[in-house]
This record gives sequence, C-alpha cells and structure tokens, in this order.
Amino acid sequence: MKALKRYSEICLMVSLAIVAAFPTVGLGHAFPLRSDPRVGWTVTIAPPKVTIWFDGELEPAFSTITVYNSAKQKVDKGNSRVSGPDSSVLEVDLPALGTGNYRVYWKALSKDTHVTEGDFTFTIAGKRQ
Amino acid sequence: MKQLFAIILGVLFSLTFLATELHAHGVIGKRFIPSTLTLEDPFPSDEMDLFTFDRAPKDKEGRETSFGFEFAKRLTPDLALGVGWEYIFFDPREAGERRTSGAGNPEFSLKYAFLRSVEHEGILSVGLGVEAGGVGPKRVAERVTTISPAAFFGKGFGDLPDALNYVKPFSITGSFAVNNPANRFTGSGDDKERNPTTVAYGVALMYSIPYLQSNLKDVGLSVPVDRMFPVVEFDFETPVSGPEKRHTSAFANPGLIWAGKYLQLGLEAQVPMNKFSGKNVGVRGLIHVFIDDIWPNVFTWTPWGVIGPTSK
Repeated sequence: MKALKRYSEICLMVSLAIVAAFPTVGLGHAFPLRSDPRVGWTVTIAPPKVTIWFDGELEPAFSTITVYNSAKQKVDKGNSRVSGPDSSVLEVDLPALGTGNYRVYWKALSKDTHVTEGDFTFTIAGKRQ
Repeated sequence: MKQLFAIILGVLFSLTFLATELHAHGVIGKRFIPSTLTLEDPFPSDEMDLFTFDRAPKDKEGRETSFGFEFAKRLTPDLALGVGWEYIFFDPREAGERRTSGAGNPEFSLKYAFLRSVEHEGILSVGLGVEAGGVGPKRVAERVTTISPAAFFGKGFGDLPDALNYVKPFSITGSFAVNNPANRFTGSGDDKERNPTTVAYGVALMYSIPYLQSNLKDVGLSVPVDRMFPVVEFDFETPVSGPEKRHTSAFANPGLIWAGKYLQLGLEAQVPMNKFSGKNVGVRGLIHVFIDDIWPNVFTWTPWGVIGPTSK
C-alpha cells in the first residue's frame, strides 16, 4: 500500500507539473479548431478567402492551404500564409468564385515539426461578398 | 519489495523524462487514432500511459484490481521498445482467503510497422511481448515467463465514397497475439501449475468527432465534445492447450476517449460476454500524456540521433 501511495504521489506530481507547463508551451501537433467557410457548409455569398484556425503555432514556410473546384482546378490566389498574433491561422485569398463545390487542402507544420493535414469541402450557392 | 518497487518506478519516470521521446498517439495521413485502453494499438510510438486503472470483472478465482504505467520509445521511425508494470490487488473469491497485493511482472515489448498507407489511412505492424515471470510475488504474478509474438493493424474509413461521409470518421484497429509460456509447468507437488498457451485477439472500433468536424462537416460541437472518440473494444483470449482449452473469455469494452493537445483521458466498462469471462462489469481508466508534444526538444533523442515526430 505504501508503494502504491508513493506511485500515486509521483503520478500526481508529474501530472501537476505537466498541467502547470501547459500555458507556457506552444508546441505539439497543430489541429484545426474551426474554419471560414465552415467545413462542409453551403454559403450563399462567395467568400473572399479561406481561413483555418489551429490550436498551435505554425511554421510558415511549410504550412500550406490550397483550394480546388469540382473540376480539380486550383482556384486560390496562391498566397497561402500564416497569420494571427500567435501564428496559428492559415489562410489564402480567393478570386471571385462562382457557384459550385470547392475542396480545401491544408497541411500544417507545427513549430516542433509535427505534420498534420486534411481537406474539406464547402459549397457556394450565391454570389461573391 | 514495495520500497524497491517504488524506487524503480521513480527511476523509470526520471529516465523517461531525461532520455526518451514519448509520443502518445498515432497520426497517419489526416487520421489521428488515439491509444486504446484495452488493446495494443498498431503504432510504434513514443508514448506513456502515466496512469492506468483496471478493475476487472469477478471471475472464478476472484477479482483483480491494478494500477500501472507503460511507456514506449522509438529507436527508428518504425521500431519501438516498451516497458510496462502494474501494482495488483487481488480479492480471492473463496471465503477464508485473504486479500493480497503486490507488484506484477514487468512486461517488455517490441513493435515494428512494416506497412503504412497514408492514402488509405492504414498501418500494419508486428510485435513481440515478453512478461518476465517470477519477478513479482507469486501471490499476484505469474511464475512463468510468457513470450508473445503479435500482429497489429489499423485502418481509417476516410477513403470511403463521399456518399458515406458520416461513416468516414470511423476507424478500426486490432491485434492478434499468441502467448507462449516458456515452461509448460511451474512449481512442484501440490503447488504445480500448468501454463497453457493462449491466443489473444480483438478489435477496437472508434468514431472520431475531430475527424468529422475538421474534414467532413462542422456540426457545431464545442469543447469538450469536439475532441471525443466514442469507442468499443472487443477482446478475446482462448487457451489452446490445457484443461481449459477453447474456453474463450470475451469482453465488450464500450467507452470514451478524450484527446486534448497534451493529454489523453479514457474510460471504459468491461462487460463479460460469456460464462468464461466472469461476472459483474469491470472498469478501466487511462491518463495518457503527450510528452513529446510538450517538450519535443527534450524527447527527440535516440542513441542514433534525433528521429523527429511519430507522424509520417
């Protein structure tokens, strides 16, 4: 029982130390929190850009976002960039897009070189904003 | 013995933080598969179960409760070594027998991923597990060493047609192992025990809410639901020798995993599925820490140089 108590104490101390360190550390895998346009949604006004918010800081040189139409033609302006006060936002500008289905591909390299990637669609059912 | 156990645990934790890269989760393509509680996952990774809790269903001998930890360290991107240990409490079923406890046997593992498919979110691995028999006291630990060659798989459903969008967040992982005792019999006289060879296998089916919201449809779920993975694991063990040959124990383990940026929590029920699996529902819990995500500069070291993150 004594050993178990000691073990529990060690686990607790380690856990507390890790939890205490959370706010000061901005590394790890970067996973998306939300996007605009929202994943899988239909918008009535064509968006001027696609924006994805991540839960961690991104490495600008290797984090990309591209947008394709339903004919698999690249339609974004090619100016994919990392922005935001903590470099956790990935965005790319769009030209005046017509109605249709579009697919967004993103790849995010976190500051500690963990790579995450994904894709999602959105649909435009109206005119550009 | 207990003091020694506590010291060893402390040293292992210290070594963990000083010299290993720990990665608690598997990422393949856009699929993130968290570590499962019951079955071994297919990813060779730098991972640590900081704290595991297991209160098993009551079987014919009694009821076992254990607390433990486990960690694994990659030596190459596809090869990992692991070690795990538990502290066990045992409540005998027979009246008159006393409750007992002690440190179990240490378990060592080796895992190698020989096939990965990012496009199909798939992975195949093989492994070897060794339980060092006789290290723990015989009142709670096996006296025989067990050697277990194993195979593992993992597959996400993200490559299904778009018409099945809401099925894509599912993934399945599984394992198959043959547990071979090093000695057919241990002890002598009335204390003699037969050690059967067993086959252990199972599958885990989980639904990734993060995958749904990030890749398919943002359905508006927010913290903490947006990082949850409902899961059900089925595990089986069949003796292939000895008097209990073919008496397969079978459990369904429904539960929930929550994976944050640095921490993973899991809780599962253990539901016996037949008469060989005992009575009552057990419970299993897990606290998992993503150490290499927290201190990547510290935990990327190997004797052969820095090998980078687990994800490929």
